[in-house]
Amino acid sequence: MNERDFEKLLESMKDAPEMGAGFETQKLWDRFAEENDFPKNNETVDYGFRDYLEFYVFQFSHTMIKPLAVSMAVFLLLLGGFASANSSSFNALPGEPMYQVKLSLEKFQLATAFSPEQKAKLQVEFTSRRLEEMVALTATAYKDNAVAVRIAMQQFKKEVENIQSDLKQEDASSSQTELAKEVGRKTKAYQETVADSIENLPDDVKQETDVVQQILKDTQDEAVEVIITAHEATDDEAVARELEKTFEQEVATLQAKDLTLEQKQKIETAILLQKEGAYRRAFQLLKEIVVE
Amino acid sequence: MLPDKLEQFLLLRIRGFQDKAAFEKLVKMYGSGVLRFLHFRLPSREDAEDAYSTVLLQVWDYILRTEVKHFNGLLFTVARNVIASHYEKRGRVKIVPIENEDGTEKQIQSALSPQKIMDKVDVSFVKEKMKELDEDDQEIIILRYLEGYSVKHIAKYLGKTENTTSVKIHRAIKKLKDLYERT
Repeated sequence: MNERDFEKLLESMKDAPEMGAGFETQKLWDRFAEENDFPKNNETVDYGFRDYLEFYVFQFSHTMIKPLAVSMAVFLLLLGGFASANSSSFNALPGEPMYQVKLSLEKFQLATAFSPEQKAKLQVEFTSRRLEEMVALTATAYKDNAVAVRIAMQQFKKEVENIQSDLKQEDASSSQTELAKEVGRKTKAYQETVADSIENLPDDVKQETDVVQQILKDTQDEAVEVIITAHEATDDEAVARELEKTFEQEVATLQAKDLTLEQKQKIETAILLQKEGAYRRAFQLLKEIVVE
Repeated sequence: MLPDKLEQFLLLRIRGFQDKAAFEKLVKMYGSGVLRFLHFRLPSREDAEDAYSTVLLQVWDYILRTEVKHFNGLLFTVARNVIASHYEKRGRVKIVPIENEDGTEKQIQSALSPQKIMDKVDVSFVKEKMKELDEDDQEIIILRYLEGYSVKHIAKYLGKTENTTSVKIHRAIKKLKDLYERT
């Protein structure tokens, strides 16, 4: 069966109760409505001209105010420099009024980055911010706002997935290498922060951390792959240094664990291969070492 | 009014005026997808129905407090929360196959034709394989193939490009097909 046939098979099953169809949605709504004091029995409400007018006025004011707020933030940025603008104006958390401005400004900064290095740095910095936001939310009264913490976690996950997707682009570019270098430096810290924050997370968000850790690991592997490919294609000293640093870091992390003799020997072999410049094989050997 | 605009209009009604009828409209527009999701993640239809009620209430509370861009996305996010809490409270339920006392398989008589039985078996089989996928893949398959949303719509609420979303859909369907063919 080819993929198209399978898609058709799946679509043909959409009305089967086994596939989640056939719930009595009206009855479910009525039950919910009764328990929570909502309108019942499909009472239709017709919205009038005034309701729509209010909506369009709101939308219009938003589309006007938002760019204005971004322009002001950019002005502040130019006036006070990146550091002060970041520290003074951008501590907003998800759900707070200034948060949208913060995100808009980030988009603006990304769009106007003048070099691949700067763009990569910004992309990773914004990902760090998403993680910091999650940690900050857990430090507040998260029990009343578990959904907000979960959303913050998902935003961080989304940013990492976007980076991973950029790293996977087939046409290798210098911006991809820069991004890989930045990611290589940060992933370990991300993994540690996520691991450290588990205790403080709402119980139902804890399970999500495994998925996030796996995505981080895959992204790290992808970054290493990009750096190795760049190293093989060019004689760039900066890339070579980055690769060496990443390798040493990886070795140090493994050596801190309780290893078997065979695993220790594998590390020794990997170090020898690395010294000869055979990075791809050396990293492959390190990857084979699985510590429980 | 375009579906996107209508969604924004109704979300604004909820946030600004605590408009319960607007909430009902949104639930009717998007509720079926999350019901399917709950159906796949929870042991029984009754559990899915109970969880659905909890999801709606939490979503309502959240919209009143925070600006939301995509109602459907929020439904799924909250549903994941509710599913996790469900298993925390009750522990995982083991599915026991239907067997006779001596361990042989029970014969079940059916009034359906052999072809209908085969179709039923196929659907049950795909359902079981769906359950083996992770939440992200399940969500994306439900939205694309069972609820029939466009790639553009899914991309919008996932916050990804259409290209990346297509790749995600492709990977998810491939995983399901592999699981289906492996057995």
